[in-house]
Amino acid sequence: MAHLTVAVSEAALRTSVGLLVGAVKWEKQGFKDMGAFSAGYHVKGHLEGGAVDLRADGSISVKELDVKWDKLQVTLGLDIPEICVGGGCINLPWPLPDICLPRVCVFSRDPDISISPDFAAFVAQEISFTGRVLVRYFDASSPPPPGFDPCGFLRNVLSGTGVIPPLPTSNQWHVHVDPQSIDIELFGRCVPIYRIDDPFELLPAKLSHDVLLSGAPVMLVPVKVPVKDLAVTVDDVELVLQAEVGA
Amino acid sequence: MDRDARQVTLNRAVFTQTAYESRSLTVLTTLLHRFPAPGRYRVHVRHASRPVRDLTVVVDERSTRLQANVDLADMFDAKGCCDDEGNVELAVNGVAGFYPSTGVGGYHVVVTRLRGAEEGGEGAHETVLDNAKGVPAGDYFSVVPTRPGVYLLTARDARAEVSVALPRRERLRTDEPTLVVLGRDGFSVPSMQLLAGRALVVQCDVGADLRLELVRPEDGEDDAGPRRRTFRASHPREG
Repeated sequence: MAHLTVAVSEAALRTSVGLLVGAVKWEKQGFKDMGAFSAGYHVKGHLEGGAVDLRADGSISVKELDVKWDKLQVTLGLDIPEICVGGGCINLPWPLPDICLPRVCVFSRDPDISISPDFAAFVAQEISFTGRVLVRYFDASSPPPPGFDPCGFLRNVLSGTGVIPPLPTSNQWHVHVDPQSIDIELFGRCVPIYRIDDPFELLPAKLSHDVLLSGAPVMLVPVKVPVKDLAVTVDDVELVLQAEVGA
Repeated sequence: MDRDARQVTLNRAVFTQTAYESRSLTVLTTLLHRFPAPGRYRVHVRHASRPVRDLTVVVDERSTRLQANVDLADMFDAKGCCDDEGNVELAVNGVAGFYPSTGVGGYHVVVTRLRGAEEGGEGAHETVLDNAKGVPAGDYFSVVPTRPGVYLLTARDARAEVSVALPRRERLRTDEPTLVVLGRDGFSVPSMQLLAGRALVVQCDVGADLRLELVRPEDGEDDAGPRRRTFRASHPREG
């Protein structure tokens, strides 16, 4: 079986992480009316910065990854019922018509009180973590883990918002950065930084006119090779992926 | 999640007033004038800090409208009050209620009957209501006291004590006014009890200048007395 070795330089890895960080944006809002009270939220944020460093001990360090909040707004509402005094009618003997009194209200109009402080300007978070690369094999035919799967939940949220692609329908190798020390668990084991399809498509299918002398078109099947025993190592210069390819 | 940013203003006068007079209509007071004769009436409204406004009340036998309440604080914008030209149409014996819903200071209302040529010549006007001079016989003056305590209701030489209490446990319905009659012998009852927020209506069988004033406010403590007491030793302790 042939051996495949792919080396990713620190600069390339930095670009990869930068693309991933740049794609991470989130926005969510909701509002619930509970009669007299109402509550809502509106959060919007993105990631910025993050210095990637490959270390000689085989780990990857990401420093000063900033969580920027564009909006961190909480809305609390109180629906005060209309408060009015006076009113009512006095019945007078016929033929005098009854007289009815005007009502005077405490508030000038529907007195809904609502406060919506935005804490975005006051909240800043910075993430730094050191992790080791971890290789996992995603078997598309295996069922999802029973019960609540936090990784699956995070993946669904990120793929639902278009930050990452959804899990494929075919098998894949996933390269993760498994955080060893971290301020805030953000990705960790849940979201891979690289994905390698298994089998890996070396040549895609294509329509060719060069196969037959007559020049008739022929559909060439794609060339795919299985990938086995993917391993990843890190030194202070590059990230190296090694695997056995072919039958 | 965007919600309308609505500016809400607290009607402060509802809580701060302690004296109400028929000669100066303020928030929580209403002067109800009956129009027993058909014709055209000019209503002239004055206030210390607002421009003078006029409207016309047309009393017509063909009209079916028995009452119109006119908000003096918002006279021409109040829905259901006036038409585009500031006219109010009423049936014979119909009632116009003049009241300010907001603001401070008192309003002065003068209602003048405009006589035509067939009634003695144009320009011969008759004043049927001038609240600065008193409430005419047949009219009503309404007050809605909101602060608890003991009030004194006075008119001519008559006096009556009005006790106003806050509702304790019951749910307050404010649309149940109390009627008291002012006759030549004074008020129909010497004292009465009200719940705060309910109207007291004085039916004036004789012309009078009415006044309701808070003379003994209730501070909100229960019958057991103040909850906080301070005890001091008459002599400092030795030691």
